[in-house]
Amino acid sequence: MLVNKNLDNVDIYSDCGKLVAEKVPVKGLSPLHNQAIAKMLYEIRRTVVINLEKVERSLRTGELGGEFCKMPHYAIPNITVVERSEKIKDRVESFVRTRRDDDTRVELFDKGKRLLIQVPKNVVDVSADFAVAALLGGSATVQALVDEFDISPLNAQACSTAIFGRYPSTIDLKGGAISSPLGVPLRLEHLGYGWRTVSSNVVVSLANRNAMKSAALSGCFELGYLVNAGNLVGRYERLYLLGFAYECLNANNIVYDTVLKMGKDGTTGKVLCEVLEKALNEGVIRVKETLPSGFKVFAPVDLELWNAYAASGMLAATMVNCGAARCAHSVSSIIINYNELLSNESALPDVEFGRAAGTGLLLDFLTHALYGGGEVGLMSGNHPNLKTTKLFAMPCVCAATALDAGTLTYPPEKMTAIFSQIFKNVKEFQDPIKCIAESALSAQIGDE
Amino acid sequence: MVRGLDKKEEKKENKKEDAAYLKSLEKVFQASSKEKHTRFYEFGAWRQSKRKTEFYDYARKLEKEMGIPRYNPDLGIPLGQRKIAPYSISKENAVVEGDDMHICNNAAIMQLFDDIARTAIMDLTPIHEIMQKRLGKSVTPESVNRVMEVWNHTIGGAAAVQEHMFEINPMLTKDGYVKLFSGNDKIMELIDKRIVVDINKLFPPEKASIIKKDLGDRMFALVRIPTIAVRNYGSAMTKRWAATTCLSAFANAYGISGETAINTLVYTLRHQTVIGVGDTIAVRYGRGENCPGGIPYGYICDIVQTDRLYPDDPIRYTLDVAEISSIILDAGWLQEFLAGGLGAPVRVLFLMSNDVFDSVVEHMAEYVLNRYGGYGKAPKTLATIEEIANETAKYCQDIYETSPLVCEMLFGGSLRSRTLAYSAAIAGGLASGHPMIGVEAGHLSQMIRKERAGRLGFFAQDQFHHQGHANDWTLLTDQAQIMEMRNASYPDYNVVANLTTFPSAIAGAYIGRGGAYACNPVIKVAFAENLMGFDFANLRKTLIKGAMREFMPQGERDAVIPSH
Repeated sequence: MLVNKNLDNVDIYSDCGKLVAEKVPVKGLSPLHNQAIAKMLYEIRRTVVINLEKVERSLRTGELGGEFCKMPHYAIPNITVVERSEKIKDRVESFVRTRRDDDTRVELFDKGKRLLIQVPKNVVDVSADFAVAALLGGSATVQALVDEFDISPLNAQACSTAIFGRYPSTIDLKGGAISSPLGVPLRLEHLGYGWRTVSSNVVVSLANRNAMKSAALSGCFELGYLVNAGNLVGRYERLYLLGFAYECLNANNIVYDTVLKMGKDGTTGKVLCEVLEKALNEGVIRVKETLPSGFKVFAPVDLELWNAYAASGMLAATMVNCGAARCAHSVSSIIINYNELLSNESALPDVEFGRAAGTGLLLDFLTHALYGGGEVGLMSGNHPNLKTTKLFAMPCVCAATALDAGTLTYPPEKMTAIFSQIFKNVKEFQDPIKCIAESALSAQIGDE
Repeated sequence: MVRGLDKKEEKKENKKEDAAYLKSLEKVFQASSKEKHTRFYEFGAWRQSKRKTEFYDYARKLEKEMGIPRYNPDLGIPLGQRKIAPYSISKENAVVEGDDMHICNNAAIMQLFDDIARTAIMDLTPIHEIMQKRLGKSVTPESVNRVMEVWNHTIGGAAAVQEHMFEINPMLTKDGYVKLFSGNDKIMELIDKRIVVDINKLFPPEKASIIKKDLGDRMFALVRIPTIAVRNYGSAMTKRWAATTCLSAFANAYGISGETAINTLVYTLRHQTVIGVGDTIAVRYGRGENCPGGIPYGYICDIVQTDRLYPDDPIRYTLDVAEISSIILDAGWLQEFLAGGLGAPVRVLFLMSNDVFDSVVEHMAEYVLNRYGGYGKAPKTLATIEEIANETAKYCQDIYETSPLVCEMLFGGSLRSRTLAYSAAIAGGLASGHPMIGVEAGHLSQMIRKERAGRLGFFAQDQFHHQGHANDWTLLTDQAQIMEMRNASYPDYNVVANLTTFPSAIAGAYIGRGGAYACNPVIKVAFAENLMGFDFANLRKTLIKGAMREFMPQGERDAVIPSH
């Protein structure tokens, strides 16, 4: 049976609860149709930052490759990388730019200590994976350093080690000076997981610590993964696009309304009741049976839409709780409790049919126990834990990280702050909900 | 290559006749080095070997017990009647059979691999900061000692909470241990002496001083997880075992339990502060961290400790580095780990036997002293590379062409290629103090030999050295890398590549420069002490003990199996 997917329309509200677009076609929220999402993914894929200050330190001392290695025979004690960063930048740009009018962007940040390199579109177009920005940007910087300082062939490879670290002897850039919002292809948990390597800290930095915008951006990366992994197709497409609209883009203002209403004295249970009541009133779920005790057994009328409502409630519960505590660590408990309450009290399927609850449980363990894992801000969809829930858990993790007021040992400001500066003039990152909604309205979806 | 026999040369010729390597070879081959018509090929195939005869007898018993065909050297395709000569270990009063230096027949070599695989170092400084700043705990000498006491309990697979956990029999894991070291003597004076790696005692004063300065005030834990752990679970277990047992010790000693700070500690331990010996390598090789294919070449040079114990005999250190590299990289990684089981154990022996390699390296060391006035004094130029490569090639080719015994020992082009490449690499490093000069000299020496002989060794040795120059000077992203950070999974290295060229050059360069370590002070200290394990300061002696069946390995299961 063919479903006319164009029938799903939603109203999108901003992170301030204001209507930004009406009757937005949900299909238009797919990265395959939505220019705003495509633009953000493109910008991320082509971006890399070189830490020139670290490069200078490595070359001055011969401390190359990390982990306390020190080889003074490679040292160039008087090298002034930061001081001559403008010249290095110009050289790098001359290597990276392919045409006078292409969209190459090479800029200095932090008084010449950081070098941003965004490779142009024609480079991205011919790349087979997402390592090209790091490799081209790094390579251009190596050659710029060698040229600028006339470094001898005996020491030239030290420039490469200062920037690329132990690559290619190992599979990533360990010990180097390259920061990328994306991880490296050789560290992927599964095929198609590239967009899932963006960590919560990066997302929060991109969104300037705005919780709802963090959730929106996180959803974009998860959608990007779904496309890459062949999962945004067939019977799953509507499930995830509706979920994205309601949880990440505040469709029909459910998230904002609920958080506003529950912000003062709400609990996870109260948030759940609010969402259930709304879903019942709007015909998304129905009472299937009333038991002799009076307990009502509910059933979804529209399974995918109910899942989207449930997911928006999960984000709202996260924001209410983590916002009240100004602490990210409890997000795992909230995901567990919200979904267990939901299934036990209503008999409805919980978010993504048990996946979110399972992820919450493992996330609780792996953010609180001695068996590994890491802090909430370090998590990504490429983690063995969070990979099991598609789309719905990471937005909650990102929102929680955004709401944290300093309890993290590895917070966004320490790990990934540079990305908030880089994209401060890119409107899609500054106001993702509005841009995505508007783009969906103008999307050329075509006939089904 | 052609040279006239003037008086100086005649003197050299006479000196050559008295060379130690010729005497050793005459002894093991029982023939004169001047004899051009030998009887090497009339020795009765495998039956001339005491060890292979022993294997044959064992196998007949096994066939009766198991009812299936077993070891039978008569099934082997005959490659010609050859003398199976034993190997006289250079500068040691010992003769060993080749089979006894197969990795699987020599408990010392197995322990060498295990000891590298089971070593990790933890930088405890960030952990102490988290304890103080995040958890509000006081880090004191007493609390550090308590952590170390508990950690030496948990490192053997014991539980930090009692008493319903299932634990490992401590006799199985007795070689697992943890100790501390730091560059700050004042800090270490406050620590329980039983758990201190004493840099001042282990290193000569000037080396100790350099190492302590570079380590600074940071406190490091040397972690050797039990041998049986890496034998059961693989080398990638080491970092995880180290981090988890460490965390258990901290949780116990500081009274902390399930909370986010615990997890932050774990993350910091596992991903921020733990230093392994081998890096992660491409999935194609099917091995985890700390495997031989991921060990940076510079680390191999720091694992060897001969420079620490015998500072007045620097050449001995370079020989040991080449030999251990040949074991780890050529015989171990390429021929056993990658090729799979049927290895080339001769690569364990040929560098340390019959004084051949020693003689070449010693000749080149003397050449460097005479030519440049000392180690590390040659200009870092192409001219130096050419001079070193020419002299080494000339010397090696000369002994190959004038002594059938040398060629019999270094049978096939492969071993002759390696002997030349590695000695040229050491000499280039010694001369200049820079590993690039050494590696380049190694590559160039091969091209010179190829001009003379028309070939090198196996095909892939030619490939390796032909590409060598381009790879050495490159800035291509998948090849550019300083020599110390390269490893056996670096692109373009193949199953018979002469990988030992790199550590040889790095070792030579370190000796040429002076100092206290080649690449990493933490690795240097970590292998300066090795309780119950391989002796990295006495390579040949320890290998001989293995061949003589006198080396007691760790990780045995005697405590939980029937007596035998």
